Amino acid sequence: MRHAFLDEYSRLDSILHRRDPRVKIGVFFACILFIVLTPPEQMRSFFLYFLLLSGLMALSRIPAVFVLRKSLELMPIVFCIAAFIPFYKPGVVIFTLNAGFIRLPLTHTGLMLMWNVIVKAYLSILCSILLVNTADFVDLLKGFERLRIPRLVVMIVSFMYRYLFVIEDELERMQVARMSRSVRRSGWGLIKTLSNIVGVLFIRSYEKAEKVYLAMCCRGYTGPIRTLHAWRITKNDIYFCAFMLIILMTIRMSGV
Amino acid sequence: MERPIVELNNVRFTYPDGTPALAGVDLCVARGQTLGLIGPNGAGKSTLLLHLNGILKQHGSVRISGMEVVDRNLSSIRGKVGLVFQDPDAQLFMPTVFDDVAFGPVNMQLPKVAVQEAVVNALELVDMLPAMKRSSHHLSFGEKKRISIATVLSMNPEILVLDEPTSNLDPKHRRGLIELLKELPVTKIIATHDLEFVIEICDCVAVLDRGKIIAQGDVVNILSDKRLLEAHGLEVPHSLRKDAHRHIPGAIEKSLHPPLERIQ
Repeated sequence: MRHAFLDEYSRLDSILHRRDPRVKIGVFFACILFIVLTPPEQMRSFFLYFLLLSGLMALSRIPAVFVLRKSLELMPIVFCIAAFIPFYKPGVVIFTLNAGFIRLPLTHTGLMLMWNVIVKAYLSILCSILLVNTADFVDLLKGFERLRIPRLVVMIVSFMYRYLFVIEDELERMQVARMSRSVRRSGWGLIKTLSNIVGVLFIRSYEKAEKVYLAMCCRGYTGPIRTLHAWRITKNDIYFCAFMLIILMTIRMSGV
Repeated sequence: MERPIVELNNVRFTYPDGTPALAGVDLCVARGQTLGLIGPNGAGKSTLLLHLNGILKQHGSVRISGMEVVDRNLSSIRGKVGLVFQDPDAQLFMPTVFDDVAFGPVNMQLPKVAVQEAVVNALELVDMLPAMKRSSHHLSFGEKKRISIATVLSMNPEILVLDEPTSNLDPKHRRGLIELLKELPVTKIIATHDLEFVIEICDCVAVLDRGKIIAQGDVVNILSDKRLLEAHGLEVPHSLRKDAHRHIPGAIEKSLHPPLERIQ
């Protein structure tokens, strides 16, 4: 069995890691809101946001290389969405792309908007990477629950976190079983076995889900999920929260 | 005589696909007794266990300490009967070990301090206290198995129901489990293929095959009945074989090769 982690650096110890998960969720959510609501022309503000997040990253002792790698992994999705923006936004045409019988005009407003989407998306991704890696995933889930995110949603995510690796291990075992019984099979045969594996995996996870539900019933589950919490918001949490909000507001104001 | 803590009367069950699993089971277990439930694969052992706390129910009656297992009694029945599944990945579904062991007591609506105490006690019993804050998928199989047992011990059940508790356990942890179960003063019902384990911890044993109880009684009497066991996909455990000494390699050689002098 592999010991996979979604939140590799969440067990470090730093000023940021020690903050209450609820405070962290709130602060990073505020960061994202400020970033999204900053007008695209305020280049300097975006730069300052980036500096702020880099500062937090340094404080959290998460390796910069890791954050960079993770953030770039997510960027292709943003590019896919952003790539079309400059072509359909009306405005001053800078350049017209001739693709056979379709003519695509590229506008200045469109380009600005694309830049805006990419920068804001990147900064928001940095925020979420920092959040996920400075709090234990389990604590984050409980934090969301305490912040009145619907229990059902929190439960679905927590079951996903618990069983993702169980199902992954199952898939790996089936792959090993397939490989040890097939000699140089490729092409259509391979696709056929792979689709069978997917089907079996689905049925197995379905059956597992049923068993888990029975196990829950055995221990008195009747509907609501109840867990214990033992958290207290400390003075340092409040300082952290106030400090971050003041900085965010200063950055926002300085751009005006 | 005191009334049996578990009474099953003509319990029958057929799976939705038509497979009959239980064909009229009658079974009584006295308070404080440890019953070993043995039988071949597919005999209906797991199905029977799921009837004890009302997870499955079709025909017949199940009574736990005199209380009929029906929908309105389910919450108190499930507090009395602690059932541990064979697969620890099904038993452990919460994100951390603490939450998993606390799941039962919290559902029983115990006060916070009592829940914490129950969790610590249960984890201490299975020797897994240091793992309290860990996530279940980072634990070894043996560790998961022991925590599975802690998840019901924390509910302080009157009857402990275990499905294949020793499967896939290494000898050391199997030994630990035996010691633990011997010390627990509750009624236990254990479905298993591990007959040596039955000899060590059970007071009586029931043989289940094709959904029926074939025999119930004293452990040594039943487990040394070669004909009965072989007719139902089982075998006499090694420690009870009368001819056990013949299986020592030296002894076999002697009987196969008679002394040379005699041949001459």
